[in-house]
Amino acid sequence: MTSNWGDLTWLGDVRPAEDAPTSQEAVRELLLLESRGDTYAVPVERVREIVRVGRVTPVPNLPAEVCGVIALRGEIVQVLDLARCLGRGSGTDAAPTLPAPDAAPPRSARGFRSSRPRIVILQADAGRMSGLRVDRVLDVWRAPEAAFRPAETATAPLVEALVLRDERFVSVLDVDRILGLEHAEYRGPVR
Amino acid sequence: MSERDLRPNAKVTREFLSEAEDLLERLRSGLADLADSVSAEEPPAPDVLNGLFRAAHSLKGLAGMFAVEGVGALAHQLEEVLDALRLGRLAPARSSVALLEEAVEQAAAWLEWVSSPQSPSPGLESAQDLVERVRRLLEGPAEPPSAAAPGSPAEALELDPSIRRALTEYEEHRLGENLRQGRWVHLVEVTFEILSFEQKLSDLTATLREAGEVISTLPAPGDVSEAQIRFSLLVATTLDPDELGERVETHHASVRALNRPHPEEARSHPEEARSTPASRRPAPEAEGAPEESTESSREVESLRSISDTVRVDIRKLDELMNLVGELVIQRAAVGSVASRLLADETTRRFGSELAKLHKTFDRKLQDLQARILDVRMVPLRQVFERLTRVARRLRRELGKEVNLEIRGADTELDKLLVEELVDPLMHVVRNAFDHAIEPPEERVAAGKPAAGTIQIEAFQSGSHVVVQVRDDGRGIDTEAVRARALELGLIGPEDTCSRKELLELVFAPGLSTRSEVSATSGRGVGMDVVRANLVSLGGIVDVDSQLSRGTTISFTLPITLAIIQALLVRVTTQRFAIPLTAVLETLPLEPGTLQRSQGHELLHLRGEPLPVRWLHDEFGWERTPGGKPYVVVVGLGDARLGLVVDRLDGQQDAVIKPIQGPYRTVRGIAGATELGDEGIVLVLDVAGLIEASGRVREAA
Repeated sequence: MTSNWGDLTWLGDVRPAEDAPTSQEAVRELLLLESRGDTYAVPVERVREIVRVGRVTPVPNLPAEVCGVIALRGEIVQVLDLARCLGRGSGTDAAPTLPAPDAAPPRSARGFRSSRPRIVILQADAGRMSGLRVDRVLDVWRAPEAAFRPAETATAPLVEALVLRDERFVSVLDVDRILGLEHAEYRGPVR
Repeated sequence: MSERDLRPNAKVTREFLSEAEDLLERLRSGLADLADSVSAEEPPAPDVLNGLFRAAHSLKGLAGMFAVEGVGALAHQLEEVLDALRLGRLAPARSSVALLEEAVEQAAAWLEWVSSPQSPSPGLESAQDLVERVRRLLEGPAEPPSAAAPGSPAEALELDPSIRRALTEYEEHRLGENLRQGRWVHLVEVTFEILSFEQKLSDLTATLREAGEVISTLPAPGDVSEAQIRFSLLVATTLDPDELGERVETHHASVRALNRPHPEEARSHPEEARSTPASRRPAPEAEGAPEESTESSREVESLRSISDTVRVDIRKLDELMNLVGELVIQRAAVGSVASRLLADETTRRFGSELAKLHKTFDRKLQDLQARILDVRMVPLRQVFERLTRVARRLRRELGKEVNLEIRGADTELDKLLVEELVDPLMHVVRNAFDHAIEPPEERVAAGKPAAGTIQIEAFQSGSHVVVQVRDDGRGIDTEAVRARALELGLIGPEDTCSRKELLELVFAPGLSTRSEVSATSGRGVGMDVVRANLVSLGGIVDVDSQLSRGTTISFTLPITLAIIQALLVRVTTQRFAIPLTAVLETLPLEPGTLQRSQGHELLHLRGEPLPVRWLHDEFGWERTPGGKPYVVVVGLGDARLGLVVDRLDGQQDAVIKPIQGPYRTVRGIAGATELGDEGIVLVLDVAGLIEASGRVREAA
């Protein structure tokens, strides 16, 4: 089929862990990601699949946060680098902040968790999709609604909310913002 | 009822949308015909009213089935009003036709909203208001034209009661209308073999329609065998039974007159039987007037021909095309295995067998590719018909005399491209009507015929299709363009611009806005938008104009988007594909042959200057030092451009795919393709690069 087929692996359904809160309180399912040592989250319903980082073809005339395009079952999809989106430099030279490749995954090995960089395929509008390159995929967490706090959108425009988890705040990413409906008209660097 | 309730759920399928669009198109077309007959103060053709009624009825059913209530409510009211019109309970008026057109557009807006949730939701209030206004048409002063005929018109006929009972209200109305107009009413009886009756009946109906109006077709009881079926047709016509009998002789049908109209009255317009389907009132005052040929010649389609076509979602064809594209890649891999086997002494025999198979496979694959491409192709006729309708409306609204001439409507183009071409074409035709064609007095004073002419012509040119819109209006005043461009800072005061360059400026954003230039230049809104749309399709727009002689706008488009022959080139370490259809030639770039002109590079090519761009520069990369670069000369329409690349890597078939993601357009890149072991290869946007290079030159 496609040459990049072998580079991509569908890593299973992203399903919530069973150890989630059992009470009837309202929860939102979040996929926890790591970028430059910080934990971020995206709503699970926006995640289409998670693939290994295979061959990424660079595309000229796009801003630096786009690492390139990948082939995903016959479709060509742009991949954004989360670290660069967040203004944290390239994700590709992020080795020092990554744990050793074989560091134990947080819990029993569920397919989607990784200690290596991954591309999270996010669902955009109208059946379209975009990839988001992250340093690793941590877990799915059923976050209680009560733990959500509004984020400072003025200073962190890509963060939708903050959620308290184990005494630390997880930044919930504004997927629509990242998939950049507002920069869809970008036509290359001004020369 | 909240907006949420009106929003259809997942049940709304693409089939629904495409069928609904067809119906809307039929409604639009029918309403345009209706508006024409109202303007001409003629009674509307029953076929038109019937078609409209059926379309509204189908739309209502469809909307109901898919729970699109907004459309359903509108369609219901449309149906009611159209029913009243066709039964003669309501007389059509300009205002009511306009209201119906508004309702159809509202329904179109709902569908738009259904198909793409991002589009603005059509206001619910205004929709309900519209439904109400359409409904109120029914309360208007009824003007029953058949009031003159006392009692049921059918009673005056020598008609079998069993047939009379079977007539619908509409058929009775048409019968009365025809009797009132002093026509003959005949009963045509015919017997067919069951096996072939569909085709034969439709042939007979077609013949009868040429002679008059077929009011009703009823299966008739009679002394026939089981393998046969008998029909009685009620036909109203100006022909007497003998004349009609002659016409249907070959169909073995018998004709019996049911009435005896006043012979003088019915016979005074024998030409009517030939020219129109009998619907028109015999109007003595219309006699000397030239007969305007009806633009929509109604074809009588047999049931059989309808069942032979299949409606296919274009996306399914895309999927097929993708599969073929992948097969093409596999084919190349098989070919390379074959040549490896051939090269080795021990495997040569298998190699040559495999090579033979590969060749056969190759031919079949090319066949398959061509057939699938062919399925995607549709004639431009549909688009041109829409333009004709818009033109008719503009003619009425603007009160300008303009003849629209259409040529090459059978030229075929990829369905997707046809859809995308509608808006730009519409735009250009509207502009021509609105601005280019002068008022009649002005034209006569300039020594031109009072009526303007807009020609739309399509033709194939190599692997491209050219669509030209030519008007004989006032043309573009290049001096006014220069003044305006100076004002906007698009050119400097010292710049010398050729006439061609000045014309090109019409496409610059902001230059051609209506209020500023229209009075002098004759061109209107948003030509920059038209050009941007075309370029996004891999096409190009050219303009040519002679002051006071007219303007020609040419669209050049690739015939299909789906599969291309590509020239592979290398720029630094990355491969790119250039659609071969746009490649004119390739040549090595000899050291020292590049010249500079005002900061831009030129190549001397057979006596002509060729503007040259390095793809490295386009992509913001370092030019590769040393090496032996090549120039790929690309061209679209009249424009030429040399692209400098590091290496040529041969040709390949490629399926162009769009790049998904946040950035919908990437400068210089039209899409991507997957090529065997290469992985993804980006496809250059030749139209965009030529465009950009032209802009740079203009700005220089």
